[in-house]
Amino acid sequence: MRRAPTAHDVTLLLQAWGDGDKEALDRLAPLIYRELHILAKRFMSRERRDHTLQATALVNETYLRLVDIHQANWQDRAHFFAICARAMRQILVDHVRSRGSIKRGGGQQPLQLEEALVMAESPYSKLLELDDALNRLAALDQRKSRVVELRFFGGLSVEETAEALKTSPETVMRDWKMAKAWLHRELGDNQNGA
Amino acid sequence: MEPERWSKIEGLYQAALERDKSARDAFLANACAGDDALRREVESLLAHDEQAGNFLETPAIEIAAEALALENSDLPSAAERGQRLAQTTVSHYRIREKLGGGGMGVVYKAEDAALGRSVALKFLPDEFSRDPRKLERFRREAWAASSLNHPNICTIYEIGEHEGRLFIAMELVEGQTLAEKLKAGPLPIEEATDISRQIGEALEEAHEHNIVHRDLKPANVMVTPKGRVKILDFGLAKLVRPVEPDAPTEEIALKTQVGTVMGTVPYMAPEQLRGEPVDTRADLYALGGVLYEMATGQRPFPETQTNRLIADILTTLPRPPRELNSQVPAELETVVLKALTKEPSGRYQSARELLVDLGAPSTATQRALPTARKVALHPAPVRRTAMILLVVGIGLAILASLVLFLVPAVRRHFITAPSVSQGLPSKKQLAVLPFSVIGGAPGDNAFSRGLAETLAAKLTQISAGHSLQVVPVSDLAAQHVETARQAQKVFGVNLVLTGSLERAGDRVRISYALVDPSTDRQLNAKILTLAASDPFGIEDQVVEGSAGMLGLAVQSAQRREVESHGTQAADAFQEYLKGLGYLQNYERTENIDKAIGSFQSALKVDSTYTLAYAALGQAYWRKYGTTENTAWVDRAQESCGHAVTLNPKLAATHLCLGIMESGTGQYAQAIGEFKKVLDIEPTSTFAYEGLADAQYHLKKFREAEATYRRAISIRPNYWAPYNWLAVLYFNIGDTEKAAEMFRKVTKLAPENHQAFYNLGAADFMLGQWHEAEEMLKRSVAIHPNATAYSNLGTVIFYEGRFQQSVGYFEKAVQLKPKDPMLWGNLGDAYKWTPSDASKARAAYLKAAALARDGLRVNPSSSGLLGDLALYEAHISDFKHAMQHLGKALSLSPKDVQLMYYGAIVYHLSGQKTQSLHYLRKALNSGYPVQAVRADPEWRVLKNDPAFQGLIATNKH
Repeated sequence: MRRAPTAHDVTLLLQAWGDGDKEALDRLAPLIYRELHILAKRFMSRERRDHTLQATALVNETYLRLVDIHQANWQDRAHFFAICARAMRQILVDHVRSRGSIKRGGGQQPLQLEEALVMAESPYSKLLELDDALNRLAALDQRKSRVVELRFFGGLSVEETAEALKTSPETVMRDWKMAKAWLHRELGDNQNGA
Repeated sequence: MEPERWSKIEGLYQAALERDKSARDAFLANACAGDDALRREVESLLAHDEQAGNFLETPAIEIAAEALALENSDLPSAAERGQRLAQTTVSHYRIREKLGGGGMGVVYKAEDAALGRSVALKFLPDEFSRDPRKLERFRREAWAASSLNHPNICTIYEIGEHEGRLFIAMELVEGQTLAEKLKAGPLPIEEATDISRQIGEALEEAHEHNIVHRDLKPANVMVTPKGRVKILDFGLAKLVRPVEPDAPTEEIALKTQVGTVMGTVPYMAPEQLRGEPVDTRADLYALGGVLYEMATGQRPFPETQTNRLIADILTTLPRPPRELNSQVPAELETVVLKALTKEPSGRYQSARELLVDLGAPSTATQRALPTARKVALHPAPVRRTAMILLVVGIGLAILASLVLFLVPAVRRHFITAPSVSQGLPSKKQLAVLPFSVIGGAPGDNAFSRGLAETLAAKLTQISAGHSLQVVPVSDLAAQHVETARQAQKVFGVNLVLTGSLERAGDRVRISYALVDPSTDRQLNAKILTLAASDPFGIEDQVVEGSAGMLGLAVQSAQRREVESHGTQAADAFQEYLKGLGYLQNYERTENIDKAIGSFQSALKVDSTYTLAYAALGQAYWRKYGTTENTAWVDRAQESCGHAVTLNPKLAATHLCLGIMESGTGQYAQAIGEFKKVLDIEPTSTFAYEGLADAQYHLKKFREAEATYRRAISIRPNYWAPYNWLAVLYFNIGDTEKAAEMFRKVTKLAPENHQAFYNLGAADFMLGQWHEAEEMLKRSVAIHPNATAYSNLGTVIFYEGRFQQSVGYFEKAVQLKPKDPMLWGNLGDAYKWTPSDASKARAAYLKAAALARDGLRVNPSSSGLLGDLALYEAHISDFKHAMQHLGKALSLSPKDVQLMYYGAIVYHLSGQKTQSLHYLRKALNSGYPVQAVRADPEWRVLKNDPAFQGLIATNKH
């Protein structure tokens, strides 16, 4: 039996955060990190036969464990989706920032050339760049930025994203496609991995 | 940027996307007239849209977790762990001392607490444990190597994991390596010859299992104080090196070798150094090198600088050993130099040839030794029967179902109009034939086939009222149906939709007609002329037109959904249809590659085209089916998985995943996927088939039966569900019901060769051999096929005409060379045909190797496990035979065939009580007593009272 962030905990915290309780996010973060570690561990472990397929299943499972919409008193599913994606974005970006600074060594030693190259290419730095670019996109086109937030950070499907934004799936697909093209350009070449 | 500007950009961008690529330039030039900046902006976004590929398609949390995983793999170094390990327990092993370390990792002496024996534990280098691909590959190879059981091969007991590191537990060999021995100079000729002989024996055994060592060298050869040779690291060599998924292994091996230490280059064959494919002859080359060194005290090419060494190996001849050591006999020199020939074709072609020249005794005597005691119990040849009962469908079901319903769900968007057209039968059975292509460009044929497939699928979805049954195009293709008459004969249809497609400039003219196949009379016909660049229009109009001809009406409110194609890009759709068309004729392997190419092109145009991902998964799966290379399974799963992520509400994505899961033995998950398909698309025959098959494998027989019955009730005149149900009955031993169902199938589809071989199999099981033979001959007459030939051989075999059965089995093997069972049958026939008896062992070995290959993909296939056990018993590898038999029976305890296998396996190993126990079980569960009587394996027990008693009490 694992006792660990239950879906209930997370849902309540999300709700509190959505209602303006700033500290809720701080309490939420460790729970998400824990899931992140579990996920990372399973990525490394041998049960992972097929990269993409398993990863996808694991990620879905993680989301399911984290957020159980049925347990919450959300009058508005759409609102819940939005809050959830926003929280995920903040927590992940914070996480990446903190990892990045540890890695960079807090001014201890200058990086070796090889290591520096690795850092520049790391998924971490990509996530940070993406976060910045997404803010710029929001200034141009709020809805497209939110589509990306909901889908990429929130892990929502096209339909759920449409529900959250109170628009049609077709619009979401169009927004998603154009936002991807725009962000792809903003982040420079060779971003296929992110 | 001004909001107006942005919305202008967006408007143009979206409008351009809706246009064909070729038309975009003109469109933008016109729309942006005078505003170059605007045009550049839109163009650059379009360009990035194309490049975006999978960009952002992986959720952020997965990326973060991946990064974290990467970071966490910076674990303590091997040395640190080694320290720690020294007093540790690993799994059920107590580590005693460190024995050594090297490129292949660190080795410890340990004690197996469970079995109280000493073992060697080898921990693999860190780089392995980090890369899941390598790990997986390693496991597969190590597993294969662990199946080797030979006195000169170091036995692998277990492949395990400790703190994220892989280890291999293996036989602890006391002694020194040949490399250590050779430090003291050349060996006495007699000893050198003896060691070579033992190495040769080991290689022969491994090569028979298709395992190539690839890194044979003195350091991998242990010699015990008593002079027994044990070869280490079989089959592992190619794994140690960095492996890129697609790059040829040897090429990479060379790269690392050149840059780093000499490693094993001195013993590598020229073709291996050149990065060419390597086979068993490379090992024989290496053996030549090792023998050279034992005889002369130096390597064939003594150069120590790597680049020059490689050049020497590739271009120069080694000095004759006798120049270095005059004691070397001339014959031995000949053997060495022949083994070291640069061209593989000039070398020994098998270990046996080399052994013969070394003066080794023949295989038979060699091999009898290790098992002599057991074998002595029953003289000579013992084995099982050729009976291979049939292929009745086992294993066919899921392959046959592969053809996916790759069309977006349309469900009830049409309603059935109350009897519109006159002259149509009340119960419509329709086949849609591919439209013939007049003139036309390359790919038009495939396009036309793909069009027919989606047309048939959409008509199926429209026909919710069951008044119309549409035969899946994939079934037509599988039966090679090309004409209306054939469709009527094979599938019993009473309507055929057929047509033609003709290109004229940028227009396409399509004429299509509804035909009565019994008279070839056209009941209705239409002609359309459309823009060639508009495949959507083509499909929509043909669907609507034919729906009208069939008396089905479209509700306008649902028209939009009916006309959904899963993409908005015409190019993508066109490629997708072509891909489907190619895939219909997957029997021609180049078509699979073409299909893969088409789906990939479709995805290049529209990376969110879910159906194309699902179809691509299917194409990869087919590729696996023809190449049997399991790398394609991974790709197939990846593709289906991606499709599900893109759009889980599409039935095709779950079907795709379900089929892969079922095909790889994950039945519980497969059931989940098939149920999802049925939620979305409740009439999908494919999903019923897959669901029932998975239920069957989980031994939920009643549920499987109910599922098939549901499929029958949905399409009562479609023969396939009856066939599936029959196969189920057959497999659970209810042969009479099975025969009844098979007979129905032959009535519904009198030209279907499968129907006849299945009925033949059931008749055989019921003891009606004469009928069985007749049905099987009808099957072969309709369409020569491996299954019917094999079964025919089986019947003839049981009738005691062994020599005649050889001919049938050989035909079967020719038609289907990768089916283990067919080879096993052939082995049986050889065995009992005096003039061919010497060929039997090779056939069984081949059968066992193929069964093992199959198990790598689907480790929980009880059928394959049972087959493997049988073949192993046949080659006297009883240890593995028992293991595999036990596993098979625990998976499928009710499988009559397995019980009989059990009887044979124990019989062969000389354990009569156990053998008769299984024989009794098999007979009580319906195994035909006639077949037991006729099986020559039991001849030795002919006069045994216990055996006699069993036969006498089972008279059916």
